[in-house]
Parts: sequence; C-alpha cells; structure tokens
Amino acid sequence: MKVYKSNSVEETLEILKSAPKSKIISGGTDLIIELRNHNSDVDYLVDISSIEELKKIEKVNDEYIIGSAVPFSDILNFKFPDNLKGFVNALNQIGSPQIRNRGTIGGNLANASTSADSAPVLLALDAKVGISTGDFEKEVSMTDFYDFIGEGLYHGIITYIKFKEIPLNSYLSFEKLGYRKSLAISKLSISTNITLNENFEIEKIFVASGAIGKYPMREYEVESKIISQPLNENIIQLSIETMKEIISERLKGRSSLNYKLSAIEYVLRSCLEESIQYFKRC
Amino acid sequence: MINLKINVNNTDYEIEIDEEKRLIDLLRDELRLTGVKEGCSEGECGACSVILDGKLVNSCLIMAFQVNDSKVVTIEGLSEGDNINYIQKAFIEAGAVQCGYCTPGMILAAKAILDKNPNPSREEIRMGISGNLCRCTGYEKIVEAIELAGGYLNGTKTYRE
Ligand SMILES: Cc1cc2nc3c(=O)[nH]c(=O)nc-3n(C[C@@H](O)[C@@H](O)[C@H](O)COP(=O)(O)OP(=O)(O)OC[C@H]3O[C@@H](n4cnc5c(N)ncnc54)[C@H](O)[C@@H]3O)c2cc1C
Ligand code: FES
Ligand code: FES
Repeated sequence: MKVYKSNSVEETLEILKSAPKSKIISGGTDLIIELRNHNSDVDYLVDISSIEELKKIEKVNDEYIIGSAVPFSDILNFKFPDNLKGFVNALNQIGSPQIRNRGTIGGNLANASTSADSAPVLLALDAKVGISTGDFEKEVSMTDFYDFIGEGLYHGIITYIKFKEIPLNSYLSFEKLGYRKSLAISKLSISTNITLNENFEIEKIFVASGAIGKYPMREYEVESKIISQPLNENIIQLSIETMKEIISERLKGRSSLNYKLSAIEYVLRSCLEESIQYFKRC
Repeated sequence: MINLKINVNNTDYEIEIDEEKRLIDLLRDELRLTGVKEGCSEGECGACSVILDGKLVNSCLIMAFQVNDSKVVTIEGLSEGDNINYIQKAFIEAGAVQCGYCTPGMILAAKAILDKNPNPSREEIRMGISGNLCRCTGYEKIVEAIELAGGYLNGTKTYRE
C-alpha cells in the first residue's frame, strides 16, 4: 500500500483521480477498522488530516462554516448559542473523548451511514455540504446529499459543511437511543428544529431521523402535519403517532420494528419537550 | 517503507516504518514502549490511549504515517527519572490498580482531564474516562484517584511518603 500526507485539496484530488484504488483517510476512526477487517479494497491512502484549509471553523456573518477535517472536539470548543444545543448534544454523544478528538464531521458524513449522529442535526439545520471532485466544485444541500453521493463519495472530497444561525424563536434539539457498537437495528435518532410565532404556533419545522431508513432523512410527513399548530401535548402525540405509522410502513416485516416503535416515542418526545422548555424560558 | 520524524516522550526519532503500520505498532514494536496496551483494536477500550499533540487518542485508530512531525506522550513519558509522577502516585494511593491492563490508558486519560482542569468535578472525570474500559475496579477507585491527583496538583492534598 502507498500512503501520502497531503498538503492541499488540489493535491488530494489529483491523487484520487490518478489512482483508482486510492482513498482519503481523515481521523481514521471508521476507515482503519474497515481496512483491518479487509472490507475495503484500497492500495493508496491519502491523509487529509493536516490540510489547513479543511481544519478551520468560523462564523462568517450569520453562517457557521466548518472544515470537513475538523475533529468533533474542536467543533465542540467553538461557542454555539443556546438554541443550537441539539448540534452540541449530537456531537458530544459521539463515541468517547478519544473518538471525538480524532473523528471528523466530514468523515462522519462521507460513508452515508444511516446512524451517523451529525447527519440528523445537519438535515434539521438545512445545512449545505461543499464537495469537490477533479471536475467540479458543488454545494449540495443535506437534503440532496445522499442522492448525490449514493453509496459513498468516490474520488471526491467533502471540503466544508455550513449552516445558518437560527433566530431566537427557533430551537434545535437532538436525541438518540442505542449504543454504536450495536448494529443500526437497535439505534434511532431524531433532530427537530422548530420556529414558533408569537402565538406559540409552529411557524417552521424540520424533523430529521437517523437509523430508520437507508440514510438519515427529513420526515416531511410529520412536518406537514404539525406546521401551523400550537406546540403542545396534543401535537407531541400527533407527531409520535405519525412517526409510528411511517416506521411501521418503512420497516414492515423487519425484526427491529417493535424496538423502533417504542424507541421513537421516547426520542421524539424528548426533542419536542426540550423545545417547549426552551420556548418557555424565552 | 516510509521515513517518519516523531517526538516521543521528549526524544526525537527518525524511523523507517511499513506504510500499513498504525501508531500503536510504531510505539510497541519499533520503540518498545509496551506500556501502550492493545485491547480491542477498534477504538472501544482505550487501553492503547496516548497523548498526541496534546490530545488523548486511541493509537490503534491512527496510521503511523499520519503522525509525521507530531509529538506523542505515552505512560513511559510521565515518570520523572526513577520517580513516578503525581497521577501514578494517586492511582497507587487510591488502590485504583488491579490487573493493571487499563491503567496506562486510564492514567493518560487522567492527565488529559487534569491538564485542562486541575479541579475537575466527578462528572467531568467520568466523562473524561468514558473511553477507557476497566474490567476490574468498578471505576469508583479510579475516579477517586483522579480526584486525589487533582488535589496533589492544586496543593490541597500532599503525598504520603
Ligand atoms: C468506538 C467508536 C465509537 C463511535 N461512536 C460513534 C457515535 O456514537 N456516533 C457516530 O455518529 N459515529 C460514531 N463513531 C464513528 C465516527 O467516529 C466516524 O463516523 C467518524 O466521524 C469518521 O470520521 P473520520 O475522520 O474518523 O473518518 P475516516 O475513518 O478517516 O474516514 C471514513 C470514511 O470517510 C471518507 N472520508 C473522510 N473524510 C472525508 C472527506 N473530507 N471527504 C470525502 N471522504 C472522506 C474516507 O475515505 C472513509 O471512507 C464511532 C467510532 C468508533 C471507533
Ligand atoms: S486497543 Fe485501541 S481502543 Fe482498544
Ligand atoms: S485494573 Fe484490570 S482492567 Fe482496569
């Protein structure tokens, strides 16, 4: 196997293009396990973990821009406002201090894993993902990201993730159940991003799930049922019932169905109740 | 083979190493720093923990070539000459070592916690060692040891000679 510590995105793309079995390594927390299990046919590793342009995290005007090779712990050292608590919670629960010190946000998304914990919050924030290949540079919305990259991102590189700050009358939350080592069948995560108007009614809503589909995804049906409604216990019930119908349909015949039906109740309720607590404090 | 420059425990090395080796292989097999333990090889147990450029990491999940020009501290780097350091003393004093397999990683996790905050809460300690598994102690004594080490560091506790 050949290895190379890359100094720039350009150089990385050249290698990816010229060597068909080359692969990016960033924090290595997924890839090294994959390589050791011989699940990856790779003959050239290109390390992007020292590329300065991918290691920046900054706020430009109303937008957070996070380089793809920023490890979770560096993101967590950045000061995010109280109403983005869901983002902080999602990253804080990833693995362990050691994993958060190495694992990166770009690497978390790149495998298109349905249980990647950064994905539901980024979907709920309507985040954008910067992607470069040798041929083009593109900014893809998280909602289109999985269709865009399919099973994985071959010979391209995620360069940044960006999302806008949310107004004070909005709140992002995240909750998950299940231990990582267990298979995706015993995991489930939800993120909600709710904006209320002055009458305590839902003006805008994003609901995103992890590990109840092939990819993390927006749950449009729940969103459309509760938009314009007051955020209260009835709406929590309605959201849970709707999600249960979705899960029953999506996971029909799967052994994980019953577990997920009870898990969704806890996870979605936690997100919505935490949001209500925030709005009461405001 | 590739050439690596690395500083380990304050000594500079230039080493030729196989491309496929991980940091743990470099430390254990090339530099004979066998205080770095290999448990699960999958990032779960923390036995292989070292401090890389100031951060606690699992050396089983880093390729050796990635650490070129970096600085690594292993358990061997903590003692001062023949004397063990204050965290090691606290682990002994608190009875936090049984079989000892987790201990090097646990002490480096403790160092990462105390380097940030010499007066950590129990919650911070538990979070800080959450990537280090111990099959023997039930963790309570380890938490006490790290509190004690914090006490040594900020002067509220003194060593029993
Ligand atoms: C013990 C343990 C616990 C974990 N717990 C959790 C958890 O609770 N939640 C969770 O979501 N994840 C968890 N993970 C997985 C998490 O660490 C990874 O998903 C991590 O975020 C991947 O980033 P990396 O930099 O380590 O990627 P790498 O392992 O370096 O790479 C992973 C894949 O992404 C590709 N890649 C990396 N960066 C880019 C880029 N910028 N552009 C294009 N492709 C890229 C690589 O080619 C490779 O295919 C855990 C892992 C371990 C070992
Ligand atoms: S051996 Fe590295 S974490 Fe277990
Ligand atoms: S002392 Fe035996 S594993 Fe911790």
